[in-house]
Amino acid sequence: MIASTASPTGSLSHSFRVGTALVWNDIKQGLRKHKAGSSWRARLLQSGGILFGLIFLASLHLAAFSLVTYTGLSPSDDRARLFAGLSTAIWCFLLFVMISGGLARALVVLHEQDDSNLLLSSPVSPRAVLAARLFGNALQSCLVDGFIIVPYINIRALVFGQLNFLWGYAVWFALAVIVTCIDGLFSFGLIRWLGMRRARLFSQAIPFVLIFGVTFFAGSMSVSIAQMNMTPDNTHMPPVMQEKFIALSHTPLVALARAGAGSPEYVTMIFAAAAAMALITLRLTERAFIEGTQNLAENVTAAVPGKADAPFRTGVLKLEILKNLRLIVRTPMMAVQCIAQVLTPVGIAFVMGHQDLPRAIAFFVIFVAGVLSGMFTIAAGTVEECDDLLSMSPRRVLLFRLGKMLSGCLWPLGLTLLAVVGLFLAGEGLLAGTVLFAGIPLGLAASIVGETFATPVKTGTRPKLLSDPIMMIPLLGMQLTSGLIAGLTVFTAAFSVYFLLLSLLLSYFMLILAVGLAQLRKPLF
Amino acid sequence: MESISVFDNLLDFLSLGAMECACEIIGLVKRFGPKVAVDQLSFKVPAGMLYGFLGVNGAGKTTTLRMISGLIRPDAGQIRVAGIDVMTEPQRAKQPLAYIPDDPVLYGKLNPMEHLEFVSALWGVDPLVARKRAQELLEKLSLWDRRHEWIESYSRGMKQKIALASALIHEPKLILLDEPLTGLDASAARLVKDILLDFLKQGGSVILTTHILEVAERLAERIGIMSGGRLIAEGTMAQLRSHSGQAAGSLEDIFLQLIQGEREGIALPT
Repeated sequence: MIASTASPTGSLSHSFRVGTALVWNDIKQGLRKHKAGSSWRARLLQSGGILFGLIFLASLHLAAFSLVTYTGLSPSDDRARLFAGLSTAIWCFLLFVMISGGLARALVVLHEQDDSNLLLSSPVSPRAVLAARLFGNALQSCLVDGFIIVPYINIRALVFGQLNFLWGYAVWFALAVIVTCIDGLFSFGLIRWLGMRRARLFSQAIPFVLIFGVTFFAGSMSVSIAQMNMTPDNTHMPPVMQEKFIALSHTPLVALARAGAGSPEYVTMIFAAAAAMALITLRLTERAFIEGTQNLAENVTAAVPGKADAPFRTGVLKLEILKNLRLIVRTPMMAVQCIAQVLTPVGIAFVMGHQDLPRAIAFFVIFVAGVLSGMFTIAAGTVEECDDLLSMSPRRVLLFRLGKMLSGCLWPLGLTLLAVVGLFLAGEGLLAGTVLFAGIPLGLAASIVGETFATPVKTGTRPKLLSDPIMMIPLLGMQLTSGLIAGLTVFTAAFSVYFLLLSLLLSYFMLILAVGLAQLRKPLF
Repeated sequence: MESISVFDNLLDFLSLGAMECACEIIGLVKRFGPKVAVDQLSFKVPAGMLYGFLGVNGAGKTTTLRMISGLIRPDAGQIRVAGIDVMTEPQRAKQPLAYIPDDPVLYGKLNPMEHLEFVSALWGVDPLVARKRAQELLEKLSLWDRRHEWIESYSRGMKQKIALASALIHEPKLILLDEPLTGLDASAARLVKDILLDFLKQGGSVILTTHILEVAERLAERIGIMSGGRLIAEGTMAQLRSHSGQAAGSLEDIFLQLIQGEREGIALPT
């Protein structure tokens, strides 16, 4: 007879032990995912990635230092309020980015984990599993969005000696818990009302609609770069901008900045809110966590056959491109993502080129060329079973990959050329040249990067496209790079042709880098 | 013929009632929207028995297993595992249970020892005991030499062995197996069958769904055939033969006849 030697499983200590083990398990697996292989290529890629990350963080620290110094040097009657407003703006930005990105993460972490069958069929309390998942999600949210607040905390605490700002680290985590709970609750609501498939679509669109809304709102409030006087003797914050920061410090949102600066009552308030949110979320969603997603997963309507996929015919590049274009347009999640992505630069363009339409258009087009080329190529490369197809047509690998890249960048680059003609006819020759010489290489670079990172799905599994957090990294990289190049070229085009040429070089450097990356990961040539 | 069958059924009913039950299902119903996935399902699995659960795709087998494992809440009916009600005492009822879905999830970036230790922690097995058992199981499954490799590098058959080890690590009394032999080569399939027989010898019980009818015929003491969410026939091979009127028929013949009859609305004696 089988004798079970198991210890009681309902106890709080067992739940805690399992919760800790689960979080540690996720962390361990996450770290191992990024562990370099043994080949020199893999090591070089990882070293490059680490170096890029370090340079990125160092740049952000430099930017935070400049921001604090710039604000400190600006003559103001109410310096304390000005700094409170600045801190509030940064904390609000963090909060906003956490909320917008957290929804997609909540759907993945809470509802689409493959191990739910194992965990929920074990005698562990489902509440413990849910709590561990929420905690893990909060940690992830902290790590992913930490680049916004960490440099600011470090500079205030370590460079300017305001050690009370170290409380910011604790507040950072508490904020992540609150946001995780909000997004968690929202994800359960979305699934209940819309079903899993539509909830996934919404979770992709909402962050970008939010970003669009906020940048549009900020754009209408802020001082346009085109209007700013950038002469060397005018390097202080304009009074009109100071007023906006001071006004922000009078809103309830200043509570975040005060907590981040270690004010006891506000720290207590944030932690109490985090604890309350965690309890409410656990209470409200436990039942839905156990059975809701499971039932929906069983009952989810299948994708309509033939809508998002098409038979692959080898040999003809044109057919491959046409197929991919059809694939991109007919993949609902891709369409939603692309529309949502397109909204983002409209908002940013409004900030960059407030009351300067040609400059806003130029920014928008360069950004779109970079982001959409990459996204379309990822779509073409991830939705179907590339591995199987490649093994069937081994001699046509290059053609296959070129087809993906071309179908990815065809529409965005077409739009770029149209914009170039339009700007030229409108008498904006310099901006037309900027769009042409920055947009085209950027689009090609993004397409190559997209193809390099596209992860083929296995037969029978749902496309991991964009629902896999890993896929967000190249996407985020594309957005940042495209935004940087678009902003820099359009900005410098307003002031100096020489600086413009230098910033255009950056675009070509990106193209060379993309080709190099592709060579390292999956050699093109 | 018919009278013998009735007598057999009576004996069977009496003997089943007297045996200790590993799992008892009474009037189970599950709907997904307008679709009735499981309809008034009732059966018993005595301790120490392998129960074969057959049916075409979409018959409701997996849904039933998921309800037994506590993953889905039924709309009506009762499920008892080792006498414990799954709905009212889910955590206690899950303690003697192990469920291996058709596509078992293994942590690809862990090695088998780490995976088994994590699974045993879920069931509250003492870490030292778990380590010892994990070693024994891996040796038995010929995986000990590859214990340092990540599971993602394993073949389908090796992954299935790990899934089986995960199910056995906490020494369950009842294992629910959904299509355990799919995609396995002959030697791996043989090993899985041997392990299951070993488990049965030690007093464990198994509910197994499979499309490989020869396996069910050879291993299962009792077989239930589902169609459209209902149990259309149940019993030992002899009873099923008598039920279908095919005295020398294989399980495949009986299964196809029953399913065909069900589709065409031909009532068979119950």
